Amino acid sequence: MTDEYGDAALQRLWQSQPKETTMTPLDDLHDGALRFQQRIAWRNGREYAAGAIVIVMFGYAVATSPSPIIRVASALIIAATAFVSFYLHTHGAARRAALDALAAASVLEFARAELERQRDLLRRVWLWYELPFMPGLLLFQIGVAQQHPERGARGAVVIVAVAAATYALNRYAASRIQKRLDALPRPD
Amino acid sequence: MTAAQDDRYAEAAAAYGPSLERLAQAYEPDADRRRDLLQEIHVALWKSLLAFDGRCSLRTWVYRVAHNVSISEVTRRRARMPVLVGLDAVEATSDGVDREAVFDRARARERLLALIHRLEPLDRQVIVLYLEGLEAAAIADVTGFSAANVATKVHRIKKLLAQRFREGTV
Repeated sequence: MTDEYGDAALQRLWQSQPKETTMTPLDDLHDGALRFQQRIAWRNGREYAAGAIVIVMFGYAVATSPSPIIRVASALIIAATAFVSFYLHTHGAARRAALDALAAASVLEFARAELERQRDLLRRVWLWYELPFMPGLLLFQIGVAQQHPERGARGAVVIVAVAAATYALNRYAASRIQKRLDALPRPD
Repeated sequence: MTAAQDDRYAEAAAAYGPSLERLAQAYEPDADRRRDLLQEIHVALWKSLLAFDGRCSLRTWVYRVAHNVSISEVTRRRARMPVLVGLDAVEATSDGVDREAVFDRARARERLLALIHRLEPLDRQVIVLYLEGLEAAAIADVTGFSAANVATKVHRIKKLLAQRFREGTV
């Protein structure tokens, strides 16, 4: 390798890139951190609002439905909504803790931890998101079937089919992430 | 938020600001997104420095934060990006660029960046740190690869770059 293409030449070439931006003022960083917290609070607020709407709707059904099966199903759906909201809240806290540890891990460790987190989240979607709603949703369809047999059966088939397809897609996505994990070099 | 955190950030930004900008170039070809990424790196760096305890050098700390933020972004947007490849694949292919081209700095930088953008993030960070002038042990500290592994990668990268420059394909 000649000097023209040696370490110094390549590094000079790289480091001679024209400067694009100016320094970020500290006030902007403080504002940026605040905006980040506000974004998280807004996102959490939206999730809780969606949960509250579901709870109000099915709460109304618990209070007014003449069918005991529909009342029990609605109560189960309310419980599932509360559980999923709690899970999302605790998972979000874990994600924030991981981001706060950006400098604690080498890039390889961080990349591995991020991929493992995404893989595990996808693998467990059926457990923390689908399964809690299943008893309530299926019981609800039984309640509907008592009055409209065809609608109830059709609804149950749709629920099971959507759940199965979601499960399969998430498992496929998780397996693709696992392949990327397998391709990462092992720590020496 | 503390004054010490602000002071440490000011020190880090003054010493490594230009490096961070070049690092953002290596991860993000689009100018608008690159500005966003750089801003995100600076915010993450400033936030992280609240916990800086000297367990590693400030330089290692800064590069870890910057690469980890960038890798998170690349991973998140991976589905929308062109196919990324490892060093093996880059070594095995030719860009088919005009071999008569004169060595021109701006054009050479452009091509160097184009090659970097094609690399997998973990190879990309090694090449960027090497081009920033870090020695193998320091690169190992930031990336988590062994120093021997880094030395091998750097050797292959240098050989590849030199070969491409000689051929006029970088």
